[in-house]
Amino acid sequence: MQILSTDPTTAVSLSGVSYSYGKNTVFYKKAVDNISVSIKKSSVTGIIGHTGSGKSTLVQIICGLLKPDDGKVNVLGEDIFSDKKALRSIRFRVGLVFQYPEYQLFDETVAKDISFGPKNQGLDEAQIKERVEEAAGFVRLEPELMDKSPFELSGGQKRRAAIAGVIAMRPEILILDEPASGLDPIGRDTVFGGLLEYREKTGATVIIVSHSMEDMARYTDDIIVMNDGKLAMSGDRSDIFARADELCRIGLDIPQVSAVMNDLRKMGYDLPDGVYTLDDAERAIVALLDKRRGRHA
Amino acid sequence: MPYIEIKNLCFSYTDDDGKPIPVLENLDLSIEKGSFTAVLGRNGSGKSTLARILALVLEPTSGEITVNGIKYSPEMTDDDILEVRRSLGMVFQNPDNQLVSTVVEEDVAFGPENLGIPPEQIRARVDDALAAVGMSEYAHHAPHKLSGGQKQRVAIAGILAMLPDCIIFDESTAMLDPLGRADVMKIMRMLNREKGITIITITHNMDEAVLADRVVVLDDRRIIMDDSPTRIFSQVEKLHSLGLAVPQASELIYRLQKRGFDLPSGIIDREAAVGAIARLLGKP
Repeated sequence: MQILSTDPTTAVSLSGVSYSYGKNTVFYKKAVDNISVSIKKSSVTGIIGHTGSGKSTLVQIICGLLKPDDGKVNVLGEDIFSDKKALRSIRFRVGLVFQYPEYQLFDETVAKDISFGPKNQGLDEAQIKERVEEAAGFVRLEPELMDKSPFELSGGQKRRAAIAGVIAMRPEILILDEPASGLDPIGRDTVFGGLLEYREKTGATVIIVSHSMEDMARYTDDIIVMNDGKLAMSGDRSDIFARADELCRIGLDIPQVSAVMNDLRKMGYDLPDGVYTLDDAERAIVALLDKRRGRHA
Repeated sequence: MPYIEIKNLCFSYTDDDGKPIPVLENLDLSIEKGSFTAVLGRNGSGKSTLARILALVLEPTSGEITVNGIKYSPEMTDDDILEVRRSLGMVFQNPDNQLVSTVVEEDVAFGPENLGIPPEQIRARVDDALAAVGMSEYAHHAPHKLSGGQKQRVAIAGILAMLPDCIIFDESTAMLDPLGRADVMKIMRMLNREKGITIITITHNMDEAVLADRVVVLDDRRIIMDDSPTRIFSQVEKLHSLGLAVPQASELIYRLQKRGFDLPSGIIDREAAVGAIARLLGKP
């Protein structure tokens, strides 16, 4: 078994972690099977995998919501399942935003809704006010929205208000399950822009669970790929996208631009592998065109 | 006569102070029988409102709507309402919001039962509908144990069992994973090409819009673009200015064109982009 990392640059370190549902019933399923992986502090790390791959279970283990059957879970230097105190101590340090978090908005005004978390942390009025304003700023909620009922907001604004409610607790690790699903391109950019800014300003680690390889390509540093309860790959995003064939085989979409570049490479063109953004694809094709024209000139 | 004919449609709701907030203004649209139309537009552009008006869930403020020869009005007969509900089905975004029974085949039977179809015919319709969406082997399963994509396929079967003329998909693939999304897209295409069902899909997913033979773009309460996917997605800058994405294949070609490279317009998929770039590069 891998030795647990106590490296200060590691936010999360899992070692030999397994979890099964429905033990001793016909619904028995090994949801997460012997996972050892670590997540760097202050990184934006994506967890990807199709439905049933174990990614949500993994996230719930990292948050301390599910206790694994086996293995060690180290979060922010604490062996979180070693005793109740360790588990409690990370509760406020790790924030989880569920899928479609706007369904959980409940208070009379947006400001009150966002202040729910910091209030429970026992902060005083002035601190709460500061936290609320700061969180609203990260997710680009205009100040005039703060006194409205959350139910008067548009879908995208509701989503951002719900995310602000978790950011207001200033978690050192912020985990989000499909934060941009159902949003239009501007809505997506606004949400992800806010998350990147939160990471920039606070040094927090951001973990994003998503189906969207295009979002992974645009916004993450590292990617963890889950398949059938097992760790299929983990590494820096260009390393992951260089393994396009494997990603396709486990049923994940690669960005269309990666597929175009891979097809061209397979035809024999001298293009780099692991291209996953439009900027890089454009640059690579132009470079090849220049090279070829230079040769023919 | 077109299957759907909309003239001068307006819809507004009133805010807390009784002030009207317009959502759709003077909208004209006709949809031919057997066509496949994608409706694009940023969040809040009025797309879902339009779908809900067509499905008789919302009543328009003013304007004329005719669906399958039946004119919408507050005085519509119950028979006409029932006939529209049979003819035009709708699949919603959230797979968990539209299944009503505890057994898949009972859920699919819910529509025809309410139409008063004789039981022996219902059996055949349910079997056919589940077969069409590839869910026959799940007929006796509990819906809540299915994946999102499977739930959407059951929802589609529930509409098919009413022998519809048209299905509106309101962001029905938004909550699905890539496999579920691909399954539902494949079914949309099959229903249109093989069964001649009119398909309208409201979507942010460009791969889905590319399947259609017509793309309608809503912005600021109106239809502002209405053309074939190839012509719509060639207008990269315009779509970006509207806050919409284009397929990455189109975007890559557009960027290379802007740098002065001679590439054809109207490329919307991977194969066409690969072919065009290969021709530009010359032999490998």
